Amino acid sequence: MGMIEEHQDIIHKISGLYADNEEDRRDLDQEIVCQLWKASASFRGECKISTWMYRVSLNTALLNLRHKKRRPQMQQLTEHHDNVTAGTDDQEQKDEIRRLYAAIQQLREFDRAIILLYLEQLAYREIGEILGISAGNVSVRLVRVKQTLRELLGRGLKNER
Amino acid sequence: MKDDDLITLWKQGNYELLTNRRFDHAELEALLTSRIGKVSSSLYLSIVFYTLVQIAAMVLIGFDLYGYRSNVRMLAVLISMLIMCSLFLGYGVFLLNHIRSIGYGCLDVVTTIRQKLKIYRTHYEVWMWIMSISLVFLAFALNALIDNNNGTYPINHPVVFAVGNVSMLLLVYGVQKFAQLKALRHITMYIADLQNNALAESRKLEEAKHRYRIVRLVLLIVLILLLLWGIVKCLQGVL
Repeated sequence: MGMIEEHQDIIHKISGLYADNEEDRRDLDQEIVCQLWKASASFRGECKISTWMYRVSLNTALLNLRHKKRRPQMQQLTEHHDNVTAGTDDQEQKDEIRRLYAAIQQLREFDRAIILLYLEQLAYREIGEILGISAGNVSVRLVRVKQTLRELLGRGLKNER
Repeated sequence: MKDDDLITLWKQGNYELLTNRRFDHAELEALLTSRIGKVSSSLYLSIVFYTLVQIAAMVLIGFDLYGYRSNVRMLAVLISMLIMCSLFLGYGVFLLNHIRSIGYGCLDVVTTIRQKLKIYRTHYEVWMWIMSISLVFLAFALNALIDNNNGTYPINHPVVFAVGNVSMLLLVYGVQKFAQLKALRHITMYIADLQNNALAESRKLEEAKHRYRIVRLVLLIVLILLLLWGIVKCLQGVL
């Protein structure tokens, strides 16, 4: 439990990206905590704790096949974005953060995982270890994902203007 | 936007988010306590449920063995059913342990997804037939217990009896197969995503969802009409 409490930021970052609304996010938090607790018995320190937690949490988020309640897309995103921009008074920065989160949530589930781990500044080798793909594959996919993200960010900026 | 800018924005966005959302120890324990008893896997639940069905069938067959003890033919049928139920039970226990051993902990995302896919395509396919046969056995054992006529089980219309049992078997299998295909579709989409075919798969998934919505609606309308027709016929008979 101590391990989970210490590294719980990982849980919140992942649930923030994979849940559509606050209710789903709480459900996903709960599911991830439960899976981490169950899996902790078999963790033998063969990798870093953070790597292991990313692996379990992403597995849970990606394989969490639930029926989500239908809510308008903008309403789903606004809740989360208000939380992420609450800490800054700079309006322009707030807008940029909001656009970034909105863009990431439009990516495919697997691409979200890749960009999340990249933005967390994990090494390609570690990203590959978590996702089960080679470091080379990570590098190639990341180029595509970053390009898509930039296009989405550009589109978001155009829509606002 | 440069990569460093993306990372800076991400970190800034996370700062307040994580400050507000941290769980304390008590909250984590509360999350676990409310959840740990529940089984989130529908596959796991299905196996547990039908294992109980097999146990119930075996108990009823036990009663039938006593009730038909002087009927050699029935004894042969019931003993065969009992042996099959025992084998099914063993397979169910094996499957439960196998699913539990995979978990989410030790493996990377891709391997976990592939293992789950393998279970759905192999073991679960076998299990769907086992579920269907178990229900037929349960129904037969119950009917045999109720319709025991001094140690004989009268089958007045053998063809109807056979068709009825086969239909039930196929119906149960069909319903489970439909659910399996739905689950498999999501999982294969993730696998296809790894091979950069995700756009095509996502589009197919959305189209299939739309098609299933229409099928469900049509089925619902047909069932409601059948129900209304049945009620009208009943009322006509009564009046």
